Amino acid sequence: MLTQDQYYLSFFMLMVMYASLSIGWNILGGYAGYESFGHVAFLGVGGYTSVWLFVELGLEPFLTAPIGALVAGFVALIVGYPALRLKGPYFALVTLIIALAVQVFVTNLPGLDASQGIFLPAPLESPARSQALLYLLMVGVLAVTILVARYVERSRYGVGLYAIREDEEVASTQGINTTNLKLGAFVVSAALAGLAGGIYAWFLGFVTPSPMFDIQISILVVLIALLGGTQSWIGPFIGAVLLRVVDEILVLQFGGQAAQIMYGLVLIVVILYLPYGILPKLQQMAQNHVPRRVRTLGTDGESG
Amino acid sequence: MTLLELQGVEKSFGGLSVLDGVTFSVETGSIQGLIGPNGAGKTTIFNIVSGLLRADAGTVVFDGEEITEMAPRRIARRGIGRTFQITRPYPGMTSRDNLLPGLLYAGGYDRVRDARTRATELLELVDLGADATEESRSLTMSEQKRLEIARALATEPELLLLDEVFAGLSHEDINRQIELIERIQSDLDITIILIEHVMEATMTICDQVGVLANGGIIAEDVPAEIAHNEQVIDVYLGSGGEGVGGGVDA
Repeated sequence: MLTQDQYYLSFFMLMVMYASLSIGWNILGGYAGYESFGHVAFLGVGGYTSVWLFVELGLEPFLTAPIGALVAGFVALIVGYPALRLKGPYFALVTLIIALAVQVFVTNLPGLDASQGIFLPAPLESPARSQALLYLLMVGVLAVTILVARYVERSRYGVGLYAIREDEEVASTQGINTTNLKLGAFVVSAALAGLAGGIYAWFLGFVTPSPMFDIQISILVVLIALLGGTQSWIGPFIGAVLLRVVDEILVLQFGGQAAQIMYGLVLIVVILYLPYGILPKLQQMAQNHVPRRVRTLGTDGESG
Repeated sequence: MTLLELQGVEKSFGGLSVLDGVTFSVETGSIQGLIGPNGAGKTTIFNIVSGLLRADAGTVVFDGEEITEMAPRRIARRGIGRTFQITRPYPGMTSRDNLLPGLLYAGGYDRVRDARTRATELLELVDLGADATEESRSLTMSEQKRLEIARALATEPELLLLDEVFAGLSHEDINRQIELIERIQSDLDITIILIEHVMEATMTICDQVGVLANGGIIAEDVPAEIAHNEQVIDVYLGSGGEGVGGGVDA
């Protein structure tokens, strides 16, 4: 009974976390078109900030996660300035390397002994309740992320980011400070990942660099966004749900190794046939349905 | 009054000297043509004035202020708008959304909703009202050229740089475009510099025409005089090189 609850809890925990990470990633990667492959760096920074604040000061997750977000945002500010001078595959590669470098740096910080792994105690007496609490906090992170993404989408700021994605040089001849806007998007997206990381570390309980800086997370975050569609936050949200479900079914049906192969095939098919993601396709299908109904209504009116 | 003044502007790419001391000025409220053979450096001048390229030497003064070293975004806010020779609308955006960045970042609009209202007005001004929600990449060449003009107007410019806005258009579309540019100039009180290959249009519309060849302005006069200038006929009109399609300038 308990194990089944735990199974569902960690399933949904990961789904919510991936949704937040990918929606946050999309603020820079989707709106501004700068696709980072190092997003996990900020999850890890947030996570280890949590660890450090607990070990040194005994702070609780409510406090450590927001501070983790600030630290992750600050790291993004420093690495983002040089990295965002590059574009396309060069930017992707540099962010990948940044993630590896940040991992090495954090793992070898003196006094933290991160490479050994660090225990974080359950924040509540009962471990099951603690996990449930952390899950709810992660849902809170998702809610915050969605609000931020929605705000950006509808604001003057979002218009600037879209212009950068479409044609950065033209954008610069239209009054847009492209450097600042990109950097801002990078910092916001990193801070949101840091917030998630702060909670995730507590959820893991035993924190080691390999899950906290797992390169696969970086890649999945990008795939989720591309799968769902990068135009709005709804795309990565749908992508995260779908990918987690498909992943889980494949693992249960075929076991780890075979699942990975199937998973890869599913992704190839999706990317080949839905280059703009699932969301635009769904919208297109919805649009194709609506006019038919409108037409029937319209002809009634006109013929009368 | 002089609105824009170039003084001894030089630019080379590697070992190739394109501009070798270009000096000319544009009067407020005029339509100034800039013609010259392919590769003469006309677009390079636009790139320097709009800040996308830095001049190696010389100065650019706009409305009494030196803008030689200014970043493109500041120049745009200062009041210079431009179009591109090979049209570059924001491809994934609708026509109306194409105007939003300029309105919000250089045109003095703070709220997206207000900017959208203004965008609709500007699209109507360039006869694209019906295509407001059309994706810009699906527009025809003529429509894309007009969209670029509207997008440049979105930044509320005092000076508009039009780079071959007649090239590739049908005779009918050219006449429509001439009418549009004259309307912009008089209604919105904007000074215009026009790079052009289509001689007929240039001669009709411009108050003054400068001829760029061999790295400098070799002649500057009213259209009727330029058409008979021997030097100009020699390097440009007589060369038989000019065509409606136009080539890619350095």
